[in-house]
Amino acid sequence: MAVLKLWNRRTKTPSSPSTAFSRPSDCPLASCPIGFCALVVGFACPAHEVRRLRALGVFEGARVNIVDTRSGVLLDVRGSRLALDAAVARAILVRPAA
Amino acid sequence: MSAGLRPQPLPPETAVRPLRVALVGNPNCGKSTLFNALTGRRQRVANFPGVTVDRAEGEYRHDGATVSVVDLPGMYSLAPESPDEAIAVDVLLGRLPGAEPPDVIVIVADAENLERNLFLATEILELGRPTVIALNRVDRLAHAGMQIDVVELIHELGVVVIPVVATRGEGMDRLRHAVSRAATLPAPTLDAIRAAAGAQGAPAGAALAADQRYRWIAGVMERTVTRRPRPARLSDRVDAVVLHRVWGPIIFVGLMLVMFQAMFSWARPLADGIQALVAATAAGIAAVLPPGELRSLLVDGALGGVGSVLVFLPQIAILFLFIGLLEDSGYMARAAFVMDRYMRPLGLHGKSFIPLISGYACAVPAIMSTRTIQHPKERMATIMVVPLMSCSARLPVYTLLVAAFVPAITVGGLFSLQGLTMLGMYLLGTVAALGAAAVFRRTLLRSETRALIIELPPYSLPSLRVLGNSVWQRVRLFLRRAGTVIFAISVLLWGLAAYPRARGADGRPVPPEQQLSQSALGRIGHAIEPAVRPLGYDWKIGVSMVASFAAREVFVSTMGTIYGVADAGDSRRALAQRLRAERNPVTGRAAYTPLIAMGLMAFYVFALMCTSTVTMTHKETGGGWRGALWAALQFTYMLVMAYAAAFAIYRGGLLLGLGGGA
Repeated sequence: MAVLKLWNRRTKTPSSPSTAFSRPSDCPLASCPIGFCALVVGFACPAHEVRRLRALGVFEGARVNIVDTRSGVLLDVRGSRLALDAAVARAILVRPAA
Repeated sequence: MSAGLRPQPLPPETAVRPLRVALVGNPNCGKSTLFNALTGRRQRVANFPGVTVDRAEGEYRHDGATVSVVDLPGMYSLAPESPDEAIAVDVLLGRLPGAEPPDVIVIVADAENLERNLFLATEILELGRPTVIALNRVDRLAHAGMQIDVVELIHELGVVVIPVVATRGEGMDRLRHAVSRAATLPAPTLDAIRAAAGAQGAPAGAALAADQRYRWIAGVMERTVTRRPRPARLSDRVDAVVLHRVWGPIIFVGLMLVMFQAMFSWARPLADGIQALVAATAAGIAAVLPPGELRSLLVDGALGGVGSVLVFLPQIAILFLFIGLLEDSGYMARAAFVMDRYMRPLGLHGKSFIPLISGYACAVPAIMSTRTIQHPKERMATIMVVPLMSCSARLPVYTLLVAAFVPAITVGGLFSLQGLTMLGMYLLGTVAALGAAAVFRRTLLRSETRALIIELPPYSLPSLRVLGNSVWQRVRLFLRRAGTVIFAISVLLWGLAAYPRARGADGRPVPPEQQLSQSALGRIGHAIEPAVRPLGYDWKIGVSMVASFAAREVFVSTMGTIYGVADAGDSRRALAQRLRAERNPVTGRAAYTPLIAMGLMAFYVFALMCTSTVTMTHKETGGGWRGALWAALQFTYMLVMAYAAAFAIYRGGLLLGLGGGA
């Protein structure tokens, strides 16, 4: 599986992702590696931010690709590019998209 | 003639007033380009009643009827997050007093981003109003590896969908036709969404949950859009560099440098041309009119004042051209993202950066552009500090003083000292703005810094027409100001400087110096001299400063009027020479020195001398007495900073043994 390979290859810290993968569980978007494809599970940020994220295509069940994580997080949401600061990225819970 | 052969008369209300059409869509969907393509030159920018959001309005004629089009601010959903979006929603729903709801809504959807664009589109379709969807940028689909079955899309949405390419004006006739027809067709309903989401029978007005809506849209997408995997986008490869942690800020600073370079060197030939034109006009008037009051009023008063400000037109045009380029190419959003990290410690948002940068051009549109910042306190802090960014109206002051008092030498074999001084003034203002923002966000406007959620539009080649139009709007505003406020002040000042006429003992006119000193203007100047004396200024600078509280550039025109240099061949250089040569009548030493000029420039860096900005701050901080308090606070804190800076530079310089002049 391509995602599996990416998950293993791109992660900087080797210990955490393996556990995350062996027991697929929710993790913040901020800790996903570049190239990762994630399924949005939920939000831990204020309601108005959630509203904005949803209007921009980041809703529960949406599939997003992590394009860049070097400053904030850059997402591919169905072809459009969405930039988030690190705090928002930490408040979005995702799980690996199968 | 029988009644059956006669054309049906139009309903009375459509017969008397034009069809009203509103353009809505996501930001960056090409809405403004479409607006331009639809209406051509017949457009104007005004404000929505009661608020200061830009309202771009235009007209076109179709089938002999006039159709008026309003371009609403971009939005992502009908649940507004910023004041800008709130206005757009209010207009759509007919809630804005004084603005009637549109007859037809045109949803502009970016074909490349159809899924996200359909989110807003379905919300609007649920309003049940006559609607047409303009599917924009269909020319890019092939490149993006997409195909859209428009007929199927029309079936699914139950609304007319017209594929268009706004940048090339393709599909405009069909769109115009569809708009005129939509007004007469039954409005669409989106029961399908409700049925699919199992929410049928839900109370009217209860919005569907975002995920239900997206689920329905996903179904529509599946039936109408085919995609094939595409190679990595060029946009992403560019972003890898532009958004880079190290390269990003370097590229940004580099772009700013190019912008300033352009403003100062490319503008020169054009400015020289305007200069020559003003001089030729003055010479023409002088040739026709005999010497006397009228000639003096026209040449010294009106031309001297307005002419010395007009030469800055090319710089202002170039600045707005650059800001427009950055905006329309898609770079501005990246700059906000890149700069967010640096703005955060100051308590500002990455989005505050755009108004701050726009502040280099003019604080008035910059303050207006703070409307994209959702959080009120971050927005207020941005408004309060934007006027510290050196705007184009300060340029005339800097340019004059730099030309007069900074030697034209090269430092390190590369940079001109004059250019460095200019850059220094801009940096001083910028640092002050950032510092003041940090203070405001830690005191009066304390709150948590909000999230940055920003869409990065794909890079695109800006449309020359849209760009040209936005530059022209700004230039026109400047020209109008030069033609009204500055013209009036110039004439008034000329009158104050020319009267009452001083006569010598023999009843003959006295030399100009003495005339000025004894005129009404001279008396005002002498009266305020004690206040500006500690800064090293004489009454002439004092008068110019007082006059320039209306608008900064008036400082230069006032000095121009005082020294009556418009009839000289090259007024700016001539004025600079006059200032250098000016002697204190008592001591005989130079009246103005580089030290005084530095202090004066610092004063202009900080002081809020612009009635338009004060008015704008008042409006944008809530109007009424509340807005008045904010505007007063802004004016006062900036004036205090200005006086303190000028005082510190002048007194500090004196202590160091630098020349103090008069």
